Amino acid sequence: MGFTFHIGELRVFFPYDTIYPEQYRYMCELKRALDAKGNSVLEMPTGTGKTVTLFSLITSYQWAHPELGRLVYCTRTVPEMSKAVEELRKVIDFRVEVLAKELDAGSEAPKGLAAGHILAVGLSARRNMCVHPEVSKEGDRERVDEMCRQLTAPWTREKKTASCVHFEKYESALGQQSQLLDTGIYTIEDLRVKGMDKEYGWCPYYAARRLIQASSVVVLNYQYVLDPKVSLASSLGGAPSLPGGKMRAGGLSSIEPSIVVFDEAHNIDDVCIESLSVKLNRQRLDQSSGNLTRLGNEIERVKKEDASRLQEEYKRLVQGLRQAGQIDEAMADQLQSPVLPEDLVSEAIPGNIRRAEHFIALLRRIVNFCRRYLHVERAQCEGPLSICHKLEEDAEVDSKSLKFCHERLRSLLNTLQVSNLEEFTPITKVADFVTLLGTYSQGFTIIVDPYPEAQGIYDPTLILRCLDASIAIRPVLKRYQSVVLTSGTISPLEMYPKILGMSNVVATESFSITMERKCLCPLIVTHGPDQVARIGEDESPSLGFRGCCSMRGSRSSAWAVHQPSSVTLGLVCFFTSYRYLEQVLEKWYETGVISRVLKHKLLFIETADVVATTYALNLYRQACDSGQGAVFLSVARGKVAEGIDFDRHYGRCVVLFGVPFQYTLSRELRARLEFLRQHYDIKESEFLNFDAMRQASQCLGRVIRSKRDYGVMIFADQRYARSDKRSKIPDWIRHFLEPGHVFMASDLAVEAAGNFLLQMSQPFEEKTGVGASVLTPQALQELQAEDSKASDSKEMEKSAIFAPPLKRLKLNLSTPPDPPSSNLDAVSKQIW
Amino acid sequence: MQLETVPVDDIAEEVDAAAQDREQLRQARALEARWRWESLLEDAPPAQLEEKPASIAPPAEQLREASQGVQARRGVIRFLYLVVDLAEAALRERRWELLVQQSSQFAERFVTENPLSELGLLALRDASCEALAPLGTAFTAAKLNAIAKEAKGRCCAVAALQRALQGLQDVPSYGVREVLILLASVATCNLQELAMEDLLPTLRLKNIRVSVVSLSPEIFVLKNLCVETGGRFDVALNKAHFEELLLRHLVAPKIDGKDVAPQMVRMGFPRQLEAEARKPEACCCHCQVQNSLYICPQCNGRSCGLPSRCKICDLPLVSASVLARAFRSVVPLAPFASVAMGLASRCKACHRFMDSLGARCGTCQQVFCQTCDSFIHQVLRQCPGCLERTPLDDQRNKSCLHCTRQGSV
Repeated sequence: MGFTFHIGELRVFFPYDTIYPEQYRYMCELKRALDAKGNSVLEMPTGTGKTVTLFSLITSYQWAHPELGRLVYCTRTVPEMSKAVEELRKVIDFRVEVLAKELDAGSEAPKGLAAGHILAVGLSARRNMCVHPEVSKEGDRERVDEMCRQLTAPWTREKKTASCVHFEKYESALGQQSQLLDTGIYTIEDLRVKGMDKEYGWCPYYAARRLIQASSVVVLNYQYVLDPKVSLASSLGGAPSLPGGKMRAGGLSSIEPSIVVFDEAHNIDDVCIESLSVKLNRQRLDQSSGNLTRLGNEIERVKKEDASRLQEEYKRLVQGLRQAGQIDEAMADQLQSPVLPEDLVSEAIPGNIRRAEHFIALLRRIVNFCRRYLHVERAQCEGPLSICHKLEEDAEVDSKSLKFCHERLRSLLNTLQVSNLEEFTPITKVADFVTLLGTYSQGFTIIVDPYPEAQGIYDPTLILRCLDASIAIRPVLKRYQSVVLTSGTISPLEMYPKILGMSNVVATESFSITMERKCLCPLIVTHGPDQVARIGEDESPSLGFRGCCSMRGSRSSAWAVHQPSSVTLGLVCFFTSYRYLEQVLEKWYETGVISRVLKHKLLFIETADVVATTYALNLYRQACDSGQGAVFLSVARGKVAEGIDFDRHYGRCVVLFGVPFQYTLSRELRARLEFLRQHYDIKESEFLNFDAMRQASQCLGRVIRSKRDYGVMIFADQRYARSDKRSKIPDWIRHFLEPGHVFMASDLAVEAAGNFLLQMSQPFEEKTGVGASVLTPQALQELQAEDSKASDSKEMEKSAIFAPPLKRLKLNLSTPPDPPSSNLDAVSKQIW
Repeated sequence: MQLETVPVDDIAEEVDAAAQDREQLRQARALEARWRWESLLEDAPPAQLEEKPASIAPPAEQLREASQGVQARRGVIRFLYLVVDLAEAALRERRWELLVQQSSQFAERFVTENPLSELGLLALRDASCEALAPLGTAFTAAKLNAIAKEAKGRCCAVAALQRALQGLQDVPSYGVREVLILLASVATCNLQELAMEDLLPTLRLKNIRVSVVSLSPEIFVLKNLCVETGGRFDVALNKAHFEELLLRHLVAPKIDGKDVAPQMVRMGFPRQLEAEARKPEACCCHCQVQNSLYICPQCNGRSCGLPSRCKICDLPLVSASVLARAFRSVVPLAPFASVAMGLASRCKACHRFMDSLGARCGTCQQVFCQTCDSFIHQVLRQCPGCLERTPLDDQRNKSCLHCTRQGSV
């Protein structure tokens, strides 16, 4: 199984017998980016083996260039992580096998790294990794963290009141300087098994964190890289330092020669923004007042019992945080700073908050200020600078000391030996809030909304909102040699480098999926059967709908009745919001559409409740399996739209009602749009369209999960027909969009979808050779030979023009690929 | 900062690129107009489905194999249940008319071309399965026609499979057991607590092949079932395609040794009883007075048609011509090579002067005109030249073949 081939001088180990042409091209682009030590944004449709391609190329690259650091692979969910690690295991197993075979003649078989093995670990939250018999039973994430801390905090361990066996084992293993694990590839589950094992028995969570330093591939969640509160950024850098590995030559440079890959990166800007935003409301402020009182009491107590502790702390603070270096390492880990490492202040803490009592008083003033500030009748929106000014005036707080609030609080909690950190979350949030306020004057906004939930329910919230996605990702870009953003739907590609502030982008490419038959059928439905009626024209946005789109009952009914009767098995509908979904359902119910749909299929609905939705999904799957067929109504931007696949018979047709715009009246969004316009020169409409279309393609992309799959994609809104939206549909979908399918009446669309499904049900044989969608090693060689010829001639042109990479992209986009109609003809000829 | 509320549409839409849009719209309208016209024609009341005489050529696939000399074992003796979907979905676009018409045609041709086989008829209606005709050689379309008009309810493929399973359980082991479902619905329901997967082991154990010819896109479970049992799942694109797909099931299926063990089959060659010779008698199969009767060599029971099964002793009754026909339906005549001919040459069969093109039989090297060529291949299925050469197969066989056919010549 598997084969190796060369791209340029690089030998690639690919663990499968055949390779897709787009996988090969993807590798070429990726290699170009790595060679140039630059960043890249690459789009390749799902179902084309993106993960294995990435791993195959990058590990081969690491093999060829031992001076390269580790690969940090980030993805979104735990199942995705496990899948990725499994793929990695295949790649490495194959590599070991090949290398062993080649060395057969040699006398001595090398072991460990030299034989091509690597160490790779997956890392997740404590909740997913804990093996402690009591703690692991807890389902809540915060609760698990809390219990773990209580068991592992240094002072509880000193007192020996309670302890976690696994953590003790970890500590002792560390103490003996022994290597925790041999080389190998470990998923979270593998690590847990080791943790339960008598022989090992150490805590998987802490072990994984430790093993990161030794591993050459790390698979983890976005947050660990982006969110400064949980960031591992400090421990991710550097080359793998396993005993058998070669030490990296050269000293410490500012740029780590590591590679960071963000898979499923289409929402990365949201993650960045989310990680730097803080939300406060009245309840939280009340709680933090309570916290302050408790802290005050605590200080009093400690003063009486052990005044020297506070004195010591004071001395330390005089020296400044960095030099002190005495903050317990474990403590530092638990109380991560909300600001980015590079912005951490290394000067001494100002005098006015060095004393614990003074600091508490200051925090109290801040909390009171916030409470006053919260009390508004109308929504407000302010920049950080003006708020700082108000704070200075009102609460007599020096804006400089704001910056230090977080560090000071951390130090205080440490001194007071508080193990129950969860209880102090509210005051920590307040400290985060002011620290961010003091640190960043640009790219943030503060919003007070008196009615966040619904009109009439007065519950003001104070939101510190990050507007600039580039702030959170900046250290990552700065620190690592190459950053790769990749996803199935990441169009338009030029937007991402712009809003993330990525420079040095070497490769931006969108790879289409090569399919031998036309197995996608995108349809844009713009009007009902009666010509005039246009779907989604009416209903003003003031109703508060996200996409402001609504169909009148009569029209949608005609649609809904016909559709299930021509689609077999799975039909998935996405609506723009829960509210819109409910309204449409109500209308359908009144007009009897529902009962007619139920004649053909079962109906399932996504709700905000995760458990209910999962249950509904299971039943939906069952219905599809048994041949009954079902309709699933769900919401764009919901859980289903992001993470659930509707492959094969589970989703033969997907309908998107309306354009999934963000809620444009939201103040947060407006502030962000304003910011983008001012700083990045991105028009509001451009960003909104971009955001809506990436959601839309996310939803519709759910239906295709492999090359043998097929499905109908229906955009049910007339606005999709306009060129500004249509041009933002990912290349690989637009590729299949026929000119006649752009403005369609719903009845025609039903017919077209029916015909398409009939076509697709015909038997089909796969081709082989260069033009095929699956390449054998021989075919790949032919393709490479062709490419090298072509590139020779291209090189000549390039040297004449000097086109920068971004230009190239536009060039690619502007030349539309050949319509695959000829292919279809061939298929139909075969049939007849 | 003051927030003004601009309607979403105003900021989300761009006015430019209108020209491009207009162009696209025009294209779409043009396409739509064309389609609309076609669909109008389609929706016109189909007062009479045109009674085109069905093409009776053997399927292209089989001919191709014959010309390539592919050797395959085929199960000549077949027991097939034809299941017609008359659920509510069949009412749409009057599909039931097509289904009924096609299934009666199919049934007729099936018994002619597979003379040793038997066919049963089931109808799927209202989430259950009705048996219209038990396994046998006689078949009437009238009953199907009558109930087809009341298509209703859901389609439940499991019920049909269960019924067919019951019927096929006891058929002799030398026969090939098949179920052919003509499907119009897009889904099948499971009303009883019995899933399709549960039936699979039994179907496999009994060597029953399930095939589907569907008017709707494929249904995953059914397709899976077909593949697992060795049948096929075909989806028709249009009427002509549907006919073609159905035709494929006329040919005896390929089998391998483990499906059906080679076995001697006991059959009777009955004597014919002329009506004039004796006083009128009733047959024991229909209890009706018939003109010509056949006497079972085993029990002397009276049957009214051949091939059939004696009602009394269950002995298959055949004649030599039936066996010959059965042979020919399994091994079709290889296509003739076309040759350029002089004007003076005559066709071997009709003795008329030929056009420029003639067809030569590969075995006997005789040349036939094009009309005779198509007649020989589609109707006769025997080469007259070859028959002449082998005097053992005498004239009787040939004339018999003639009279069992439509007898248009």
